[in-house]
Amino acid sequence: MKNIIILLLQIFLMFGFLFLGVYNLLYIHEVKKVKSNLRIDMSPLIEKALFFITLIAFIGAIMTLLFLFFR
Amino acid sequence: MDLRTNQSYRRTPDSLTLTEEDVILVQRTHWFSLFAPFLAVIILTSFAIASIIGLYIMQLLTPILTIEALLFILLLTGSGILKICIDWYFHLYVLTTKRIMEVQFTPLFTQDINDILLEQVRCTEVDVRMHGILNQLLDKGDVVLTFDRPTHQEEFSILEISHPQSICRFLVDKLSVGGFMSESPIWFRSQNAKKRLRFSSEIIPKTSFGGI
Repeated sequence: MKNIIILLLQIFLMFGFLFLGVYNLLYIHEVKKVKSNLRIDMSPLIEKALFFITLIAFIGAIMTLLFLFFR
Repeated sequence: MDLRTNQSYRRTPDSLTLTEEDVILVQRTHWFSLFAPFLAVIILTSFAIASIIGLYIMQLLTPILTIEALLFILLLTGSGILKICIDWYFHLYVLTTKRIMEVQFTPLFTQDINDILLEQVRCTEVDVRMHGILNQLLDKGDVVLTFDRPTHQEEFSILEISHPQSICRFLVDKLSVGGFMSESPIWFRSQNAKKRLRFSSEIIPKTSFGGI
């Protein structure tokens, strides 16, 4: 029973990380579009932070997938 | 305070303006409006982290799974905080020579542009609302412009901005230049030094029992 719950949680986390990565990727694209439409300056720190979160989310998804296979 | 020299007013959304239209003022909501959503995100994150640590202590989660879950929650929190900041950043009130607009862009979700053509309306009231001790201390409040349209009256609210009184004066000055408000009385600041605001005691002679 415990193993099934852990397996389900790992699958949930993997899809969660994947969703977060894809969502942030789309979000970065959309933010750039709005920024250029409005012609407003924005701190590059925010974009870097978004990119960092996206990267970590994809790494997290891959790591979870690996743990899922080699558990 | 000179509104035009302030950093936040210099960034003008050029693409929103028409030809022969100049941006006069750009204003965002006060930074303190971010406080409530930040607090909500932090409280939710704390609960989530506490429950994961609790599950780990009860030995229901393996160490690797605990780390993964914590990482996921931290990333989710980071995304949420950045989304709140970006939504705040793209919410602007813009006054141009022809229009007054509220621009609200929520990337990936919504786009709202609400504008009023100043040539088509008559501005009848400019009110300032500052309620509560926090708003007084932070100099935060609302400016409500009431327009008399041919068919109905409508209010345009500039909500939760900093320095509402200065903005109000600035708006009255700018709106009265075009003749929209030149005939209207301005209750909070007299343009003419001779017609300064007077207390009732200066008008009504002092007598006992409040003038009776």
